[in-house]
Amino acid sequence: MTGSVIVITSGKGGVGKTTTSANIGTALAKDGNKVVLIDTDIGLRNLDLLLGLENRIVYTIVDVVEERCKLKQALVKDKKNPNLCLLAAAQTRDKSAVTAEQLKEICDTLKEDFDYILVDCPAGIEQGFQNAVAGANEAIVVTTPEMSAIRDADRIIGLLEAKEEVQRYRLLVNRVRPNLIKSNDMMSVEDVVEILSCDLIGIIPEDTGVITSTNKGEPIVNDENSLAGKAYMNVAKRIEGEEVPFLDIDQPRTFMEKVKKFFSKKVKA
Amino acid sequence: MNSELFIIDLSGCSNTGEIITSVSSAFEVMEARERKIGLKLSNIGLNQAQILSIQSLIASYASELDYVETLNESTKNICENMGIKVQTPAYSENTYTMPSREIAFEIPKKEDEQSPLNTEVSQMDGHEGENGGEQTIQNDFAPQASQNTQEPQQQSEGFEEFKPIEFDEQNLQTMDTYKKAYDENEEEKQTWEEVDYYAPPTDEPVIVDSKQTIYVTQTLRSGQVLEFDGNVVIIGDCHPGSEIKAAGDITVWGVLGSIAHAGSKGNRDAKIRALKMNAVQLRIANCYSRRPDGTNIPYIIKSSVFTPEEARIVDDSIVLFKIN
Repeated sequence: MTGSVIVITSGKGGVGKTTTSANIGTALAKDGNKVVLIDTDIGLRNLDLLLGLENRIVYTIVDVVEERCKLKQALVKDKKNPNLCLLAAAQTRDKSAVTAEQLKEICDTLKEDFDYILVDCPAGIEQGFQNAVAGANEAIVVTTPEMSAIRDADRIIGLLEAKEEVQRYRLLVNRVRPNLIKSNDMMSVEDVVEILSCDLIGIIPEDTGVITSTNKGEPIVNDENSLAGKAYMNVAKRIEGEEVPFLDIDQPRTFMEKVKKFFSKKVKA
Repeated sequence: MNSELFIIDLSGCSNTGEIITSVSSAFEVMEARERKIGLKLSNIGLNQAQILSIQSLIASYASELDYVETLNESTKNICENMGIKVQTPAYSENTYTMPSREIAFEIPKKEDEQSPLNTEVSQMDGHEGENGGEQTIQNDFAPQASQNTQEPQQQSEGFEEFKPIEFDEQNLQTMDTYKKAYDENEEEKQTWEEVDYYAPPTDEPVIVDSKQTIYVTQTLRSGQVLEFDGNVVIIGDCHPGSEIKAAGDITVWGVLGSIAHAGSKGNRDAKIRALKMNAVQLRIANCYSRRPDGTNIPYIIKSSVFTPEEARIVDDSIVLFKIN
């Protein structure tokens, strides 16, 4: 079995790399794939918290690299889905504890046993980024419809293009607010794709449920009613190679909005 | 509460850390709980906050600080301001000092009482018998104390000293006679002769672990590691993401919300205590236990209500015990 190694990166911090990693990983595992998530944000790890696995971590990626344990010992199994594993980052060290070659080796070893290896990349373009990208053959660039995030994403895409191993990169636009787009206060997804001239893999609407799910340590894809959760499920399907239409994120929330939308459709028809 | 005084000798302690450890070790013995406590300090200078923390430590074992014996003037003044009784020691620092890191505790006697053991003991300890009459209490323990000074080196790995003293029948009987005699004050001298060398079992000095103790007065934050080949005392909180590794015991005077590994060199008798136990993982020697799922909210529970707990190994698994 040769799995694909997908790095989730953005350049800018706070756009939702870790949330995306946790959710896509969980979604892929729900579809029956064997998935391993690697947190490369050594010293500022958070992926374990989002998955609610904080209390289970005994060995970390640094222990694997420094040969204090075997790779299989360091894989933390998810509470619900046995297909999902986490290779946690060490909190008490820094990015220089692992080199790009070592991470590539880990990815290559994991490829044999897993369908998907998702690498959660730290913010920035320094060693942490270089490490995370080292073993990847695919990339997902996360951005939000803001100038600062787009500029950083552009820089990242430039760096990814320079890497021969990365065969494909796709864009995920996170935290989209249809209301603001309508009132011309936010860039539309089309604008973002046009600026970055890059394939789109998903559009995730802003969802307050993400905050609660993060705090609970339970990815939002497990919540059937959440729009963001559905959007992440679709992203997972696209990674698997299915053709899935983009979700209509401009879905009415309140009753009044539903009534309005119902009538506006009628009028158009 | 038992009205009998329980005296903890801290004259061998040279800093607050040692005092805290010595006091908490003394409370390992059940006899020390729910009693009035007398503290013997050398001429160490303590400030009000330190005295307060010692006082609250004693209070956490349902005991009460009755008096302090000190040679230090500023400590004396602070204690008097705080309303704690102060006694000047019957001995001066030059004539008699307990071997360091040992605690002797005793049932008090009036100063005019003479012990039949007195002169002999004084000679054994290498002191002149001149102060004998006043030093009755101290000298009674001297022979045991001097024997035990050798032991810590031999026993440093085993932590044997912490185990409760085993009572044999003979000792128990002596204890009974002793107590009886104490109640009936008049016959006391006589019974002392009868008792001879069989001192009550509680009179044996408890030797505090010979390993070193580190004393940290700061909050441990995420990513910080505290590793020490001995006991660790932290006055402050330990946030999630930090790690404490100690070859001996870990005591946290605050919220423990991180990973704590006591007895990291394999000592299964090591213990972890905290005012509030919220640890992500507890490890003692080769045993491991984790916090139940779903309790990681909020990030760290900071509350004014503390529930002091102690973790130790029981049948290969880590069990939490409420202190008090």
